[in-house]
Amino acid sequence: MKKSEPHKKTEKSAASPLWERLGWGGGPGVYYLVVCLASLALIFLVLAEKQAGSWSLLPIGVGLIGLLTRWSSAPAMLLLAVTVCLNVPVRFGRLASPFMDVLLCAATLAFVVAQYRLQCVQGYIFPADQRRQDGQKSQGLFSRWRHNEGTRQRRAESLVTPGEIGLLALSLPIWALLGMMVWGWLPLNYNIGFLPWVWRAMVFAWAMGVALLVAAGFFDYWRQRHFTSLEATVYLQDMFWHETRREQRRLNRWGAWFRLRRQRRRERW
Amino acid sequence: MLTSRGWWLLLILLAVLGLAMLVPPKQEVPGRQTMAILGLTVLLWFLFEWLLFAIRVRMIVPLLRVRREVWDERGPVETLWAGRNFLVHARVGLPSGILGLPYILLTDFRPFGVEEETGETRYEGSMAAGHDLEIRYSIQCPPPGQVRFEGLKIQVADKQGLFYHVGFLSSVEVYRVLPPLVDVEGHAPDVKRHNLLPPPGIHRLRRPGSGSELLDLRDYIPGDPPRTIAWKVSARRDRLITKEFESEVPVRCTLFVDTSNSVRLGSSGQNALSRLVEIAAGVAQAAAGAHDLTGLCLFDEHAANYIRPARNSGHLIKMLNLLADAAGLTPTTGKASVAGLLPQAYSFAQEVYPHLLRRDMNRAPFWLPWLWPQPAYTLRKPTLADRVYSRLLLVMVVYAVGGFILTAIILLGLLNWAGAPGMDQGMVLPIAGVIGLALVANFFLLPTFMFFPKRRRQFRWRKQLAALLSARYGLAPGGLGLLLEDDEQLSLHLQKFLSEHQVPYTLPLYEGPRYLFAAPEKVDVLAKSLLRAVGKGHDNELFVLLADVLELSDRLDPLLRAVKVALSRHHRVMVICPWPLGMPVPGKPGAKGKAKGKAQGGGGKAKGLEKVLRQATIARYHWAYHQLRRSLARLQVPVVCAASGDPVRLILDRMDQLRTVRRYR
Repeated sequence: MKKSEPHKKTEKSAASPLWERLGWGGGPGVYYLVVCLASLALIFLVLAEKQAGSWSLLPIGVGLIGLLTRWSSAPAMLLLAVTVCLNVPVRFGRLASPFMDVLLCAATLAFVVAQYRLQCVQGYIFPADQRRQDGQKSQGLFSRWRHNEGTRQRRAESLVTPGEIGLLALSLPIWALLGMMVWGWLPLNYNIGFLPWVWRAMVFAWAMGVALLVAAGFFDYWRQRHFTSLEATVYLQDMFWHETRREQRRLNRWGAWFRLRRQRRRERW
Repeated sequence: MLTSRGWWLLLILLAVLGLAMLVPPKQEVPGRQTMAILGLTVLLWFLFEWLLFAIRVRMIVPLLRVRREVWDERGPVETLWAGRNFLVHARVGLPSGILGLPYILLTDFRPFGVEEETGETRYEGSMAAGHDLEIRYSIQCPPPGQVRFEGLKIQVADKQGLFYHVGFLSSVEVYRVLPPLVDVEGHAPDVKRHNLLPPPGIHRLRRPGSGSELLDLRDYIPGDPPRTIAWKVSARRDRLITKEFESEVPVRCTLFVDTSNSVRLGSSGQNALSRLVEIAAGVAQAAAGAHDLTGLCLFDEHAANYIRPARNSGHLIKMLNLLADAAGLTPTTGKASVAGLLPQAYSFAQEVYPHLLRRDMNRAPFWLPWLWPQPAYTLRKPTLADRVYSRLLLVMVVYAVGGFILTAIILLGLLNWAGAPGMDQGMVLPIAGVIGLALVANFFLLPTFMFFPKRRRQFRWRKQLAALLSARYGLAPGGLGLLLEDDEQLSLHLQKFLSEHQVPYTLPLYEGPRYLFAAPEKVDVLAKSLLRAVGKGHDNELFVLLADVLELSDRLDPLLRAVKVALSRHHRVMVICPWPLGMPVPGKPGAKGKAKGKAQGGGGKAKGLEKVLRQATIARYHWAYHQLRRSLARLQVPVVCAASGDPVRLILDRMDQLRTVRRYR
């Protein structure tokens, strides 16, 4: 049986040494740092192979800035940066290699996942409770949108295990291959008069929409099947109120007015 | 369920995919396909994580089971004692054979009033199926009453922090907190003022009777049984001497404890009711230790709960349970402001009942406070702001018309200015754009900040809380509409909700000049209960009235009549008055109005009006106390202030006096 232990918060203030902020203090968080750096190196190599030129440095710069400053949007920005590199017009031809594509996708995904997990260990894993934030004293510009130390909840470093790193590494090529397969399945033909790429986008959006709708419907049905009596009462009562709110409002307002009038008369006499 | 990180990642992903799929492909940009594959890769991973998290939250988290035990040094207990330390064990488990949870934070919701001593009330980590987690910490119990454990707050997230769920594992356990233990002398076991403890099972009844303990020696009276003759003493005195033995008939005592609203005011453990309960519990335990019979009558403005005197251990436990339940009572009044109670109740409901405030189950339409605000005629004392708010729709119409006219004037001016000779036509469009944006902001955004934002927010809270309270207290389905429109009903139900969950709240003491918590009806209830007890009484009994009647000195006639009846039946009556905390204890009789009102607790720093008010209050209390003493002194009924001396000892001494031998020769 696991017992509760005093929660040890790893306090790393803004003035702490660089290696501590990068997670080189020896804790398990350094695993994710290694994954991030390795994936940045791989992205650089693949983009250089694709002859992106000096643009290859853009994702590296974004990634390194994210690591140094714990920028929470760094993974999303890296995705954008890689997209920008892939949109650079080619002058001398570019090698089209499925293997390189898989490698690039796997490396990007690795950085995204590892950087987010590193942020959960070094920064916060839960969103800040705004009610506690409002109670804290403001600390400079944009303090309302920053997490104050008192409200920060980090994932403890001791919970990071080598096993989850290994699982992440093994799953990366699978996701990349799945992405490639889905792209291959999306049809260009059999459309009903649209441009091929538009038709492909429509099919993709339609498939995603149907899948999400089915999943949402399933979860809603599951939740409703497991309502407690109190939850079911609140749900049905709400539906009843929405249907009859006008009549209820009229009757209850009249009732409240009548009761107050009777009270005032009693107090007068 | 998505955090801000998750939303940003999703937006970027959709932007990347949109760019890859919708923008026409160009030969010189062959990376478009790679971009699409990259977007699909990350999107598929994201959707998988989302699906997994949704399964965990919707299907796994509801399967969590909580088991709680409270331990003392010997083992698990079902009843607690005030002022002692206990260990809380909370175990959370998942059935085996299902998915685990990768990261959860469990926090035990500590009851109000309970002091946490050592240990951690939270657990952080992963949770595997078939395994239990344990949270263990020690607490110190509050004053007598009840302790209610609501359950545990659970926060679930994935390892990336993209998804987040907060819920509550409800596991309500209520424990009674009994008054602290005392000895036969009415004191706590570690404080012994007198060294006169009788041996266990032996009591002192200083009346002649047929017991086995020698009480006295007297001259022989013809007719005394020969076995009672003390031969040795008779031989010494050369005349017959008879032994008198103690009587085994115990003394009966009935405690009348006031539990009306007037004694419930104040924080739990520091109000008058807790002091009265402490005195009653001390007397009951001390009397039980001396094998005397003790009864109890808990009364308020409406009814009384009477228990006949008895002396077995089960009866004592029953009395202590009733006293503990009474100590946890909170005051209620229909005159409390809804605006004061609503934020407390809503924030509590958000913590403990988040599943009942979900938008898909308990929706508060955004237009409701705009189109149908609460009318002023349903309010007891509407202010100008209430009247304006009830006409919010009209105010908005006036605002819209005024804004429209202003817009027209500005646009006409702009057109005139644009048509002026020498005007740069290229500047017109940007300026018009800026003015247009400002107007849109003015019309659609400003009203949300200007026109009663707090009231509209509270109205939405009111709707959601009304749904919750209506379902919880059996008012459904029409209760929602009733609580939404009737302030008094909502106020009463909010107080009931808060007191049931032991959430402290403040109440108004006055409505204009009228004090709301005087409770004059309790005098009649007390008088009837006293007469009933006298009717069921046996021989000389002691009736102790632990009641707050200082504010009712002009309405005591029914009580005085009942006291006269009791005295005429040779019973004894005693009155214990609770005294407000921080108020100086009254001095000798005849010193009315001379209380200087020396500030206690404030260090004498009250100045001006506050000082005058304090002195007047003290003088009024002292005068009321002396009036009460005078009224009851005519009947030879002692009145004691609960804050002075040792009322428990006084009551026990009075019971001892009832055992005094009355010899008629």
